[in-house]
Amino acid sequence: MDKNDPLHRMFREAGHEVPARDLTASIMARVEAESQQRVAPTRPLIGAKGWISVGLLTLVALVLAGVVPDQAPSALRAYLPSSGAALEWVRSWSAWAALVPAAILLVGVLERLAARYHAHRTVLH
Amino acid sequence: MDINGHIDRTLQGDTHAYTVVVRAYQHMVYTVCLRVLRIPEEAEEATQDSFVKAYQHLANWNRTSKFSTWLYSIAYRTAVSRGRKHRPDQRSIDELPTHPTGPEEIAGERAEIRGHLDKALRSLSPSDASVLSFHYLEGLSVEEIVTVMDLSASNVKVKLHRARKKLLEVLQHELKGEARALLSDHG
Repeated sequence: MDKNDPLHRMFREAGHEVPARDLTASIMARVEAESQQRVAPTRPLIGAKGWISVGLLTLVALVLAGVVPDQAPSALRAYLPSSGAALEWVRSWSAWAALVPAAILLVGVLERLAARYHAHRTVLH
Repeated sequence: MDINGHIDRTLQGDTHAYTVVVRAYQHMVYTVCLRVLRIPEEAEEATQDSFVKAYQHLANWNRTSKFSTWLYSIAYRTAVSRGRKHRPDQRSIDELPTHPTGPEEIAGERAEIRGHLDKALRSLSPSDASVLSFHYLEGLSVEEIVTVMDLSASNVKVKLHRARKKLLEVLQHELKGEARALLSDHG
């Protein structure tokens, strides 16, 4: 840039335009509101890898439940009810294998729903 | 602490550190917005929008360019966008305030120069006035103006040449006394 250019000196002499009022307070009020709307990201109990593992485990358990005959391990037999049709499912290992991941999935879904509800309330208030 | 330090602190969640950034660049951003929008109230709104946008996207500033260039880019585009949405009233140049009333007293020759320059810049298109302002006031290179205004380098050079010529003509016609001497001494 040519420093001898008359326009250069003129612009420099004139300087910046100045707003009629200091805008800092109003800008910072908007920035503060913006930062409060940014909800700190909550770390889910079950991450993406966890979801995949639980899903695969459930799938494997369901497949095995249809293929492998139910037989509780001999060491556990003594602790399981020996009779009663209503409790027969308790003896089924495949039922347990499917129920446990299903329960984890349910907890995960409830946790996500609770996090969303909390975030929604934080933005509103 | 330099401005980069305050930006780092802002990025770490210290919102108060952004106050320093706002204070440092407020007048520059306002000037960019005023060149485009020409109405002080609109320029104030665009200035606020620009700083909020800059805050929202602060993490996207890649430090290969100067922070000021990045901020000018946001300010210019925000002002252009606002200008499209809120088409200003069709007041003539003479009806528009020649200069917004600042909190400081700008006395004597400086006020005269600023008044004439402001009026002369209003006779140019917002784009041409912005090119001149970026070049002469902010000291941006052609490459930096290319980034800020999203124009080609040849387009910026042509705009700069034509706008400069026109502004000089208007100023020669308008200026009186000492202010005119300022031009003729160097021109």
